[in-house]
Amino acid sequence: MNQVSISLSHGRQNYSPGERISGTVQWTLSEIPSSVELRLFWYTEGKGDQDVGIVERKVLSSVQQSSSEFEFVVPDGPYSFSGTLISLSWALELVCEGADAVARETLVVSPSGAEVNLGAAD
Amino acid sequence: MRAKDNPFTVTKMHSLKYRFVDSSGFQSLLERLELASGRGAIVGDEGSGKSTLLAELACHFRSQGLSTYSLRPTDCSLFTRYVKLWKHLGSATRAQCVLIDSSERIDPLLWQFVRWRLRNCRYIVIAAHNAGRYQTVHKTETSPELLSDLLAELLPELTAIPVEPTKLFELHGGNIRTALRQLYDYFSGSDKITTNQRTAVLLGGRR
Repeated sequence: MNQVSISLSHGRQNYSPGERISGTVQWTLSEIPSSVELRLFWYTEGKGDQDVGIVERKVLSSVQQSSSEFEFVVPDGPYSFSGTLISLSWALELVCEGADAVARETLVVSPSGAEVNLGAAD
Repeated sequence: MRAKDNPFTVTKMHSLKYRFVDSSGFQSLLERLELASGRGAIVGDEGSGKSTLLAELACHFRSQGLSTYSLRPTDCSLFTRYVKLWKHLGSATRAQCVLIDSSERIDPLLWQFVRWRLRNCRYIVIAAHNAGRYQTVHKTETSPELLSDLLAELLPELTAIPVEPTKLFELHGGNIRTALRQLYDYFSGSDKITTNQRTAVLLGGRR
């Protein structure tokens, strides 16, 4: 059985642009993966088609069991926001190709560290 | 409600699997496609699951190690459509499987050219509103029961829906996509987006 996880330093999920996101990833897989990659990305969700932007990726060793520390610098944007038609969220994802194992940790990126609420249009 | 919390986001809708009437449906479709020399059409009305089924076929072909190319002619001017299709066909001819959504957007003359360009592909499956261009290998159909099942998957609390699924199905003429989109608007609370006669009937005094 596959076990993959992402642990953020101090369990912190809210960041401002320019700050560092750090933590540890661990994986124990039932088979040798073809690749293991940690991705920092944003994605949209809502009424329209989904948009995704991978900002940075770290290629990790393709072994069956390991752990690794990581660090990313949060880019200037886009900020995490939510309205009624669209939300933009950030996440870290550990993807083990060939072993069908994925772990995801959602993040919030904005100057205040809180999601920007667009509210409803009048 | 925030968009990401809405139970009817496009992402959540795309996660729904196509539902065959019987469990051997997908296998039967593949068999019919083989019998039709790898050329087949998925035929059905708008919002009946043609694109969903084409996407599942693409996944199936890729899982079999076959190079697969999905093509969707855009709804634009005839000239732009020709130019875009010309570019896509260059890549499509190198694929073993080609899936064409909204194939009715390819006019008859261009269709003959597309067929000729893709003549060496192992599989060509098109989605269309009407039968005719290729042998129909599956006909997509909707029903109030299907809508109920999908709603139950997206929203376990059926009571939270402002209208009976049967009524919703009827109001949208069997178009599952528009029915689910209307529920997105309902849950987003965006009255101004959905304000029209149909919505007024749908929600009339029940909110």
